[in-house]
Amino acid sequence: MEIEFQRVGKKYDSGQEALSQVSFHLHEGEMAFLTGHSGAGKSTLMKLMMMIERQTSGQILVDGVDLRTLSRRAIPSHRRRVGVVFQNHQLLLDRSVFHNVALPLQVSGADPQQIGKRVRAALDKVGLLGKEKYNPMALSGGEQQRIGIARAVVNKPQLLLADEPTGNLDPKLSTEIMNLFQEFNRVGVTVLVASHDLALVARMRHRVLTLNQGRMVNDGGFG
Amino acid sequence: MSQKPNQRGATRESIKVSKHQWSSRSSFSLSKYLLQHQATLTESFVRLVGYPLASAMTIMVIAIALSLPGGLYVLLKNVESVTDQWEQQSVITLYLFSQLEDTQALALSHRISAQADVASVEYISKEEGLRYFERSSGYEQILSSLSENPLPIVLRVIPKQAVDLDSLASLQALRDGLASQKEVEYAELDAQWLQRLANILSFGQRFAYALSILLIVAVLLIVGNTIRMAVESRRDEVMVMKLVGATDAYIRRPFLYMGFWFGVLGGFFASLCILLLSWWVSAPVERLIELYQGGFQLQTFNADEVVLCLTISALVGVIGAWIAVNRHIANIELQ
Repeated sequence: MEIEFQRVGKKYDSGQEALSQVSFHLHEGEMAFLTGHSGAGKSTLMKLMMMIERQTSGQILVDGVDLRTLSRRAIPSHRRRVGVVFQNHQLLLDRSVFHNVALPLQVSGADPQQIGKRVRAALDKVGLLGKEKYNPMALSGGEQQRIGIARAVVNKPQLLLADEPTGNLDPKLSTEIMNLFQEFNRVGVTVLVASHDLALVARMRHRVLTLNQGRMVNDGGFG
Repeated sequence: MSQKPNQRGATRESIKVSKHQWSSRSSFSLSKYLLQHQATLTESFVRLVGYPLASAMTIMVIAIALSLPGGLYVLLKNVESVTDQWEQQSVITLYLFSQLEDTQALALSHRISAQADVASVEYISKEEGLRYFERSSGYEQILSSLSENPLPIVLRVIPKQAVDLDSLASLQALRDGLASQKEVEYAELDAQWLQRLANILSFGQRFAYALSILLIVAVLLIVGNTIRMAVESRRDEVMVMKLVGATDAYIRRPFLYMGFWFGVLGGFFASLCILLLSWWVSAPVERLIELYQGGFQLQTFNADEVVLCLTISALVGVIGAWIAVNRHIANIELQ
């Protein structure tokens, strides 16, 4: 999936300007990091891509399609093409690992047999194949984050967004998670990871976009 | 740049991905869709059972709210069936002066039966009246203690016109004409109190409608409130489902089915209430009716009406859930 921001601005109703004049181009199959202090606009940028929020100025093109032209009804099918991973995993604790990962497939009306196969494939990729019957609560923080990743990729998205995916993890686990993203990128998924862990970002050697108070202050380099 | 080498492979892979998505979308079939609905139907029922006390209370409140208009409906149905019987019997009863001779009375009877608007006249002599009175009321002792027959000669005039609301005025005119005969002490038109009954009945019907509407609105609110709480308690789930691309229809579905279950179960227990209540009152009512010699059978909900009750309550449940869910799903957005 190809993403293009053209002078995008987002001003909340409260008057707070979260993003202004942000422009960048994320090519299909590219992997990039998004850094900046907390409050710099990283989350807002992710929300715009997910159509959780709408920009107040500028244009966002996804595969050449202006997101402003999509109606409310078109949002679900847009989101199905995008996988998201959050810092606070957003897992449902009243169901097993399997059912958490299966959710995107159930939501898009997939075949029950297909669901079983694809959930196991996704869990295999993140190294949790044996734990599908567990409750997420029974697993460690790093494992919970991997459930979130499995859920994000189970639908074979064209774009993978991660908002502080390593926020609560120690350096070793963080590196493992980042390597996982890199693997998905290697098979062609466009990946954008928001992180304030600059050392880790630098080690990954990918393109780095830096936000500061809602403005894009650096695009390129390896951080 | 450094991404260049794997970009080509990447493009090929993502084409494969989108093709896959396309094929899974085109394999949409009705049976699969129905299967999904069936699964949601079962799942929402299981959820209901998962909170037995809360669910039972909601269902019983709905059942009580619905059994009130339902019971009123059954009551009206019974009153109507009674009045149907009375309508055919409607007559003008003429009570003649007691000093009148039989011959004079008979002459009057012939005169009246010759009238164009009269179908027939039944002549009830004093003796017949007495025997009838003895037979039907059980005042034999009191009657036998009287030295003479106190009853007047009675003429039962059956008008040609059937009595209904339209013909009432002309029947009243007929009654007035007969009352003005010098032999007649008092003339009574049965239809008069039938008219009153009809008015009471139509009042009762309107009252029942108003009550039904009010209570159905109450059921809407009860279901709406319960569903609102259900949505609230599953807020995280709704949020995550939205995040992974669930349509509003998909998110709505389990809640609508929940409303459906509340409605159907409420309607079921309301029907049960009404059936039990009719059964409970049937013995005394039938004894009471027997006293008035009516060939009357107490009516209750029949199968059609039970089905209607269930349909209405299910519909109200779904509508209540729809309103609540639509309002609340829109409010749940991802943070």
